[in-house]
Amino acid sequence: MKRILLLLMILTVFLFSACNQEPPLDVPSLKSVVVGIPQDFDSLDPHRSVATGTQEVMLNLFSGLITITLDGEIINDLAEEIEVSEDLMTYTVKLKQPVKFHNDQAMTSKDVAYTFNRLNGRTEDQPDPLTANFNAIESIETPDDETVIFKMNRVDVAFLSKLMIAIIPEGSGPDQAKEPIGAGPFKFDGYTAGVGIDMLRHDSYHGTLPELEKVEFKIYTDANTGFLALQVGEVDILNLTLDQTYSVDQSKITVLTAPQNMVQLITLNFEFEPFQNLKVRQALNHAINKEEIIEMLAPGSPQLDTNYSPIMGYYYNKDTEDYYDYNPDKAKELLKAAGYEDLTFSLKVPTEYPFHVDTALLLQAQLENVGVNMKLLPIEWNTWLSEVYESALYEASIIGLTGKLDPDTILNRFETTFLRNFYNYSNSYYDDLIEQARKTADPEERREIYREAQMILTEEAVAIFIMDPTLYRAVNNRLSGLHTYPIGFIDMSTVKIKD
Amino acid sequence: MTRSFLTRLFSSLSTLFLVSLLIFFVFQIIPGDPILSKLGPEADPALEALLRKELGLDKPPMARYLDWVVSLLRGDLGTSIRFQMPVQQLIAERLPNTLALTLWSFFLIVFISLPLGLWLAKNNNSTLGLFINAFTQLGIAIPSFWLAIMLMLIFGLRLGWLPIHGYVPFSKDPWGFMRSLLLPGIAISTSSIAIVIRYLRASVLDEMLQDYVRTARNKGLSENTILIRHVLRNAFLPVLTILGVLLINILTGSIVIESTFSIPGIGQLLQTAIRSRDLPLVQGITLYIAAVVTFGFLFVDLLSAKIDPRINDRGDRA
Repeated sequence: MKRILLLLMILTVFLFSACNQEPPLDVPSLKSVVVGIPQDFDSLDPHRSVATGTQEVMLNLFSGLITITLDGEIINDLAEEIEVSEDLMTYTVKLKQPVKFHNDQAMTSKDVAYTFNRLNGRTEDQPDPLTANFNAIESIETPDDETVIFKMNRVDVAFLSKLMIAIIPEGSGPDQAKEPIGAGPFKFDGYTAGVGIDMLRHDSYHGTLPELEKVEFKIYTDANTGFLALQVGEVDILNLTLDQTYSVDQSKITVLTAPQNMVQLITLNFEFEPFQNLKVRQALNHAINKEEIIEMLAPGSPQLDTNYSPIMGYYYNKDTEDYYDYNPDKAKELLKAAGYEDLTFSLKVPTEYPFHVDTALLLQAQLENVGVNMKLLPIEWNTWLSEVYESALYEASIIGLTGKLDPDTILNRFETTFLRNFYNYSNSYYDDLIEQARKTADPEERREIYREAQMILTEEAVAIFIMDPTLYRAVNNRLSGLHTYPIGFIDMSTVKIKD
Repeated sequence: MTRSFLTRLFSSLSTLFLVSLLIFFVFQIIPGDPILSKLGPEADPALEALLRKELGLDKPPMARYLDWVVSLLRGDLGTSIRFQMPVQQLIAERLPNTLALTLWSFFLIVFISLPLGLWLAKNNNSTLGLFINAFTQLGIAIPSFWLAIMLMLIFGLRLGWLPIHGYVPFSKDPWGFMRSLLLPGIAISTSSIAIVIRYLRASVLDEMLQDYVRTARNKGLSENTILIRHVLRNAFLPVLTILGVLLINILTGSIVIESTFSIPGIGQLLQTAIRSRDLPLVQGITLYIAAVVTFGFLFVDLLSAKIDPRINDRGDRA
């Protein structure tokens, strides 16, 4: 019994001492920030990763030949100057000097050539292509250490915007997934699967040196845990849901809001007979009160009527706005004219995304007002990917499509030949427009083509485009300088700790 | 002894083979594709094709299963599709966290429930006894994830004593590592403590009615001596089996608690593996769980035989 008592005493001492918050060792304190992220990475190798959630973190480690401004404008990064031939078949890039990678190796044209050859599967360590994005490159020449010449096999007007891809040191490809090395403002300091990634400041960074010395990206798979951690100050930066923004302590936390360059839409499968009827699709668009949905779920979000976010201002077609006003009577008329007064269809919604589930519930109530019976079919995300995205076995669904820098990668999703054309939409005129835009060098002319393409998606009521949902990003008030971009990027290089 | 052990090992291996086959077929039927799950809707067709080739997913299902069996016989559990890392490495990285959490939880279970259970049996009808009894019912009824959130709210948010998600690898900060396991350990062990207390109390009360207890009393032994020297030894046997089951449960990973506290243990890894349709990883973790269950029960049986020599090493009473 005495032994048990002794052990209980030891246990009590352990409990009380563990509650003491003082660290046991005198660790020199770095200017450090913790960022909460909701998921693990698909790969640490920048060329093998496609997930937006990975990209928004890893852009802190890597630099490309170009980068973007807060408005989405393309500017040079590792490139000092990019000269494009008139026929768009040659790109001559003069590299910025000196630039050092995280391993202290100086960047030369050989590294740039290696990067693009690796992406195209033309290096010894990477015999298969990692992406189809750069297959317009015929060959790469490196006349000196500071010059790279890309010779193209066809015109690819989106090529410039793709040059944001991470430049890595020659021969480092096979090790990137374990120990990523780039030339970005922060360098890799460790990764634990399921826990997160640590980064330290890259002191030889070629741009403005970040103030932060250390950044930890911690994975919070449970949204409630992440929110609690934010409230007690364990986490400094975290994306929130609208509900959570109402309960943050504003004396400690500021919530930044910004559009995400994402399109939330109800996809309509054209294989489902009623959706082949234009009047039905138009009726559904008129039956939905997007303003109410936005007000309830993401106030301030831009309302959409096409597959393009206004945040990408230059190519956006403003004329598509409010094309379908909320008009239940008109919706009923159209349904009657189409012969679908008692339309019934199912909507598959991925349960892992409560935002889409909530939207679907509101839609269901609104459609009921015009006599449309929309049955909700909640499914797991993996099932959604297989059944909806891959096999198009559905009638309607709801999803958010992430925007990219170049309009081609957004609008080509509705091309007949697009690999994941899960709406089964086919319009040869639309296809021709997208193809024509790819060969049009003149930016003004290209813009007009894309605007026309957006208008076709609107007029044809290809889907029910709802909004570009607002991003709610909580930042601890001890920090300043965090910006939002029109692509997924939590840029830690500009963040400062207030005195 | 050796023969019995080998028989058990053989039966466990056969079970494991059947389980792996079952999991494999279930994975063929349920919807979901590991590559699409990994890459999501942004998947680049070239990368998608390359990953399928690299991970052998372009082969027919049966060929993949046979490859897995052949690799297993060579001691290789294969490569995780989600993480593109060896399955052994992933399990080895997560195992210390689950082990530490198990040790801490088990420590709490043993050193809280045993003295309390004994005390409760002795003071069954006291007011405090009734109160503790009611409390144990509550302990069993409360779901662990709810308790976890309450603990976070109280000790993390309100009092600020302990971290909400303070997990740091042991190698980086041993102190921080231990602090981060305090609340999860309590959340895991609470219901188990309640179960063991109730079991031990009932078992001791049963034993107290036996003849040998009356004899001991007539000999003039004190109640405490009778309880600890004579009754506990006999009453402990059924409790030992329960403790064994609880230990195995925690060792195989508490999916809910590890996820709530974001602790990278076996439970969280299994959850990720299933969500990502990562068959090699699920198979690898199943193998681990089967091994823990086999050796865990073997250990409990051997311990039972040690405590009560009438029980043979297969766990049967002679």
